[in-house]
Amino acid sequence: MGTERPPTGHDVELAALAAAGDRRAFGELVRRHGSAVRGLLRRLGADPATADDVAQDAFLVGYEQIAEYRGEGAFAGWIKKIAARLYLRKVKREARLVLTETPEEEAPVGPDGSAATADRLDLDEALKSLSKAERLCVSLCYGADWSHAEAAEVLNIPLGTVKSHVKRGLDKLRARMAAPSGSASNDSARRESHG
Amino acid sequence: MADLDFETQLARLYGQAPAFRDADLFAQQVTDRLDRGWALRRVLIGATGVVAGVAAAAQLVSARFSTEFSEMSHEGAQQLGKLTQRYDQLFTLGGSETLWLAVALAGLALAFAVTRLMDEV
Repeated sequence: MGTERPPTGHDVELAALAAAGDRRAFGELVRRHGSAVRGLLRRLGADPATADDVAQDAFLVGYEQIAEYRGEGAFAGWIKKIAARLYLRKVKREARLVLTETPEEEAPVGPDGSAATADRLDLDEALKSLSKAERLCVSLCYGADWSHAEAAEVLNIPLGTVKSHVKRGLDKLRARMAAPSGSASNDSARRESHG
Repeated sequence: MADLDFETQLARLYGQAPAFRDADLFAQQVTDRLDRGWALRRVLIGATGVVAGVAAAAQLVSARFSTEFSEMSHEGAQQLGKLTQRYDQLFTLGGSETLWLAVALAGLALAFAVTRLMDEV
């Protein structure tokens, strides 16, 4: 039993096997997507230990609910959504989530922006320049592929607040990551239509 | 346009999973927890099965006992009817016979009482 090779195949096939009770197939999915989930949770603001705990819980929940995944989207996106929800539930339970106030402080902005290239971008470093709320909203919408409306609903804050956090976060990231500056007004519209 | 480029770039960056040196360990921990969960579930299912089995067996035994008891009650009722007839005859018996019967019952009661007393002591 222990010497058997792990199953191979597309994520959807592995998910179907897992839904039929094949835990080794699900183990392969964990191997494939564990780092993505852990990375997302850290980008949402979780410390490494918490991120790993929540990621493990997310996969366990994912295994319980694997029959609900029918391959409509990427498995990574599906499990990331579960992980994000678990993380938000955790921070809400621990009353560490205060998103309704509008942060006024300006986060430090990186190099003047003209010379940086995409290859030099470090998303994780750039995220540190965002407030907690901005980081959470941007990462939910771009990392976990949530719409603004979904984020507002789960975070239990007004939709406009989510949009504000995302807009400010994108502005800061853009400046930090030296992308061409410009209005972010289209970003919100795109995320809305996306969701 | 620049916004969309930036968003695309951002989505791409988010899509790139960071490399963790302990990725295999993480996967192993998850599968271990899954296995533990299933082992616990098997134990719970087994324990539930045992309890259900014992309950079913108890039901079977009690149902059989109940049937036998009702049969015995039926027979007992018939016996009681006979006894009543004899009781009726008792008062039709003569005085000495009634006295001896009373003595016998009293002796029986005394023996029963002594036995109980000895048990308690």
